[in-house]
Amino acid sequence: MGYRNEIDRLVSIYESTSRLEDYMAANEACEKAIEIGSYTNEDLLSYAYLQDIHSGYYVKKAIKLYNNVIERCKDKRDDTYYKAHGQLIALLSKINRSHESIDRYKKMVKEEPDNYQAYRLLCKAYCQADQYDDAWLAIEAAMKLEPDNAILLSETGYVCKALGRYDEAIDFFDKAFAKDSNNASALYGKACLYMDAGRNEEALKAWKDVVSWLEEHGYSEGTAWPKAEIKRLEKLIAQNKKH
Amino acid sequence: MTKKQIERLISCSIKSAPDGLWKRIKRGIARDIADELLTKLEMQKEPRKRVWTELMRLWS
Repeated sequence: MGYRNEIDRLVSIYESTSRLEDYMAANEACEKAIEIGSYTNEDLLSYAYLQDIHSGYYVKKAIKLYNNVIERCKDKRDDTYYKAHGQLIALLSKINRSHESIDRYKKMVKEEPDNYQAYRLLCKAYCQADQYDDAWLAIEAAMKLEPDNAILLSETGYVCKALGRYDEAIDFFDKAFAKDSNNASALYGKACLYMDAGRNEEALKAWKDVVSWLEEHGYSEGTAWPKAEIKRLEKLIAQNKKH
Repeated sequence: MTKKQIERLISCSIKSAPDGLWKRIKRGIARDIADELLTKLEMQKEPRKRVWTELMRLWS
């Protein structure tokens, strides 16, 4: 029967070659058809499918780049090195490959038992896989190595929050912020926790703390989300007072 | 030797221990923490595996 039309043919070519230039050609044909308004529902479906299969190209590229950063920074073991690990864990979870991260950081814990970051990354991998009981074991072990580490205290708070242990979580967030007030992660954690728990008044105060912190530290551009939450919570609290 | 003298002797020995020794002790403790964690994680995995196997048996 052959191809339905040129769009169908070009999408099929890209499907079999995965070459960037073939994607460009198919994409251009789809966009042109849409621009002039001459397309069928089948063409629209092909256009969507093209983007769908092409997203895999970017995912593969990002995984390769994260691993490249990890390789380049492995001797320095700086912030960039651990950030790349963290981002890779998040990306792999989006494509249901968290099991790969779990295996990778179990191995890291075995090979580097005195490196708290290995435990932290294993904890993150478990969190991304929604295995919070396992995440708790990993962060608990990290805390045995470095009980006063602000990053670990804050992450322990997040794991407690996920496990529904809210009071403990708040305690860890408070301890984390007291140890290092330059790290806002604990403030965000508290604000999100109060929202999840439906404690609106406390959530409102917590978001205001986040905004103050961001403004004091020169991150005014990052206040859009907290400010939107403040607005939403103020409205909600006012509504609740009326009823 | 009095108890106080023994305590002082122990304290001095600890303080004068070389850095390398502390590093070895610390690594040994860390190794124990890691082993304990990995064992616990394996143990936690077992019941989940059993539940899954049982579910598969019921579905088939």
